[in-house]
Amino acid sequence: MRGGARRRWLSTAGFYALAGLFMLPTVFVFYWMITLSLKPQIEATAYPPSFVRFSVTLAGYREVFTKYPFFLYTWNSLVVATGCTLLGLAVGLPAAYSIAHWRQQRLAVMILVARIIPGIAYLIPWYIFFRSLRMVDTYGALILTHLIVGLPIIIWVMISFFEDVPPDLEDAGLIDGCSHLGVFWRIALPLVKPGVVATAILSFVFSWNNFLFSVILAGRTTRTLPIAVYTMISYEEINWGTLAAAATLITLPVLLVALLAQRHIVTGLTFGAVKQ
Amino acid sequence: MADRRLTRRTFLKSVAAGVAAGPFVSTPARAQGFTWKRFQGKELFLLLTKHPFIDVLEKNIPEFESLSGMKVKWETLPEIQARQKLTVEMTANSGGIDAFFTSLHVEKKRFWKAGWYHPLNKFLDDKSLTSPDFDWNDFTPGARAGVTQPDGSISALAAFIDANVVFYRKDLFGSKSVTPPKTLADLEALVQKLHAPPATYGIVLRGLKNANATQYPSILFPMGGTYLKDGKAALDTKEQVAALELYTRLLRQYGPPGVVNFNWYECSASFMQGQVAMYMDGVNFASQFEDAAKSKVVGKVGYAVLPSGPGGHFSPIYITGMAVSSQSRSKEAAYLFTQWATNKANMVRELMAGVGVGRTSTWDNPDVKAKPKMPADWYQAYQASLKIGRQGLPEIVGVTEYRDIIGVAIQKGIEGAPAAQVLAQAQKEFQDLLNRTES
Amino acid sequence: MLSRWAHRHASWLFPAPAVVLVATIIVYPIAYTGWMSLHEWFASSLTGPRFIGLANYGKIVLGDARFREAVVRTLYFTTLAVAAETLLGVAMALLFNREFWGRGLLRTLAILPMVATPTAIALVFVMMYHPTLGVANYLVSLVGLSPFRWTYSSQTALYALALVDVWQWTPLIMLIALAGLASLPREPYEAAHLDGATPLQALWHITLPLLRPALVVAILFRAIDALKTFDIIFVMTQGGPANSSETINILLFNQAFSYFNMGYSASMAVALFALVMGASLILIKVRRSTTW
Repeated sequence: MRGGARRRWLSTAGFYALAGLFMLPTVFVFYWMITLSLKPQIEATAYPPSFVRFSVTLAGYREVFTKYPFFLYTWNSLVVATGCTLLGLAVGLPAAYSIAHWRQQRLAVMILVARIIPGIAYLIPWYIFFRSLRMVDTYGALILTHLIVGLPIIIWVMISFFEDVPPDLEDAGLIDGCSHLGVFWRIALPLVKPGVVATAILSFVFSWNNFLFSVILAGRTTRTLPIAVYTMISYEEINWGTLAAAATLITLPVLLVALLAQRHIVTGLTFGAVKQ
Repeated sequence: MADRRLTRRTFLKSVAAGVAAGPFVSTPARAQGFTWKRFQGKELFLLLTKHPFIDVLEKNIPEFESLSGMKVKWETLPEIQARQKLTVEMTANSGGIDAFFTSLHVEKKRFWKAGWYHPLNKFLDDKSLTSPDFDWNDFTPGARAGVTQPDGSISALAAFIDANVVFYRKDLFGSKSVTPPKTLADLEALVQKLHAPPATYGIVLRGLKNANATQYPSILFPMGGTYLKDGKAALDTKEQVAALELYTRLLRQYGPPGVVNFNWYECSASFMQGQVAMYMDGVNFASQFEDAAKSKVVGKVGYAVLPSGPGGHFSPIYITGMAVSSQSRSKEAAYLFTQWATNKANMVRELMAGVGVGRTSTWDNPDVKAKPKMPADWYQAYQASLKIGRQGLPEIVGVTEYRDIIGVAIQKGIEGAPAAQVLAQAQKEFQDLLNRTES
Repeated sequence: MLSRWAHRHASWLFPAPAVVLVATIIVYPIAYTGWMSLHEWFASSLTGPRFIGLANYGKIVLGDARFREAVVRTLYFTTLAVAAETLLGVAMALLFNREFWGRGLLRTLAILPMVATPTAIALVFVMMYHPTLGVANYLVSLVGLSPFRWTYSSQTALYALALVDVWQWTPLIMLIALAGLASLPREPYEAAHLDGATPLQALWHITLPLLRPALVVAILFRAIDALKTFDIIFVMTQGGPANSSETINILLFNQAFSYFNMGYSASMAVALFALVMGASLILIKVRRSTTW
């Protein structure tokens, strides 16, 4: 090989080696989680650990589906996450537009406060509040409370997107006789579609993974998935196979959503941050 | 004429009976005897803890529903989450929970002082509410004492009693020609003999703070130490120092690496994977040890009573029970459930599944004896331990805080700090806690 | 008529639903927590809360060494984790800021840790960290090092936990940095090249300063979440060994649900809020003062 080509080859090989090294921890942990879900209990804690050669059993998955109303939990998580995301977008998008357009920084900080308050401080007061409205063990209570985590993200990220919309376009619309709502709906919103998709996904993910609020406000009919993981921990044993199976199953829908829309997530997160 | 309580229901029922009996019967019949169907149609909500006792109980709840005609809804959560949920509901005065599974060794005094337990004395004495074959005196004296408060009120019906025993590897012991330790003096020498790292570690005990406080009395009590003396903290006595030194030394020198933060699952994982020769903990972990799908040491595990010491022979015991919530709107109905859950038939079911119970008669039940789930020495060790059972934790309001205080002291000891020093610190904190919360 | 009125008042009609919703949901918890922080109450149904003024706050500031240690630990943990995430994230972004085969695959894999359920990840890590049975020490032994104690020693617990946090959240920083790099202008680089600057100098004097605004926003969100980290610590060490990994949020939880010290834990919640709010305001100011 000639000198130049050789150097390029080395640099490319070096690059992939380094890239692989950086990605190794991520890939490994997920690989480990999946193998844990397929191993019998006795091999789950065995040492030296087995990476490739181990007896495969579907007992973990079987137990997840038979012992627990897993489909009910999944359905509940789906309803709550979707409801929370749709509601978040419905109120968050106009708010973000307004904050960007009329530079209402104080409102933005106020919304951030909701995210800053420690989750535990919400528990008892919310329980009293929803109990008095007879809303415990309802989807409504869960959707409203999950909103506290999702709405600040939606608003803060979308502010940057809306700030990017050229003011001339907006002014042109106003001059042409559009109402503010019209400018928002017909001019600004189409331009920030990638951001909308991105924040919707983020809000969905954070609601899906929420544990603390669901433990307190969900009842038997509205139990969500993360709680199912916790119930795998019993008084005298941790059922590793079932636990890993539950963890894999819970992560799966979210990962699929992420995979399908990964371009949008990347755009969303990065777009929002780069703009000042 | 005996004074009978005549509820409206029983009155109406008796009038109906009188009417059916004919025109000559005009006086109300004698007050009802016990019947399961007394509250039929009512709905109960239970908060249960993920626990082997509950695992068995849950399966049989439909039987209660058809027996009583009541509808039962329940939620099962791990202990900490269950307590969290209970706290939120009780502080919000929701009335949403009728009965709950209570871990008395953590909650006994705290919940009593907060007024969350509804006293069951009147219910137990009421023949119309308590089934004739319930037999409160069938429960062991230790179990009954464990659920009774200083003022005599009974806060729960005892369900499960956890006693601490020794788990040991019969094969390893046999190869070194040793038997389980009879006294504390034997213990250390024995552990040293069996210690052969990295294949085998001599002993494993819980190191994680708070969790270790329930196993620590296995050494503390026989050493003659205790946590309270005449209501004052007693953590700096020389017996206590000796006990802490022994506990921490055993782990520091003969325990697996990292044992300082081991909770029961790291301990039992180590034991089941064959890495440790001896393990002392609650007797209930044994059912996993004998499960071939989980344990590499099936059939090699021996069970023995804890070693005795200069202070005596004790096994720390911990009691859980079924309690009725003081905020329940159907207290009597909830009581029916709690007594069903702890009656003789259900206790037999529990013991047959390998879960230890607080009733004396259960252990001699012919079915249990005919189909033992566990090896014979497990039953022997368990029963013998119950006889020398002693409440493992102080019955104070701030027991969780006490567990953290002593737990941290033990952890520091395992990591090398001198016992007298950490105990002096713990003593100060404990006395301060008592001053603040025991009044 | 209505539409004219709406047009004029659009600037508050637009955010109104969001603001009302948020305010409704958080006003009661804020009031309750603030009120409770001025009282002493052990969750008793028999005796109500007792007013004690600012005594709880006095105790936090002057009398509770455990709380002060938790504050220091929380700040230390946050700084450690966020710093590591920033360094690693930027490094990875610099490395991956080019066209190469598998770029799409990489970006997908990179975000996986962020979207996984924290509790499940924490439990998997618990077993991986087991000193004699865990795969972490197995891998360490393959490389020839002696086994670590990870979360099973008061010396290393906090670092082991920070490692889990870094694993989970570095991708966030990396993605933001990547986008920032992608939108950098060319002119400064061309000028620097003409002036004979080395790649390292370009990196230091051009790239990093231009990247700062983007990074500060990412750091803001990460810092808020890291200061309040609860799940992984609760599941993996419960604050131990010997309180060596006890952060404010863990202590707060303990005070409320283990010690039933409602008033005191409320005052801690207020303190934690003040801490996070303070940090956020500082970072927001930094973001706004950054100029191109």
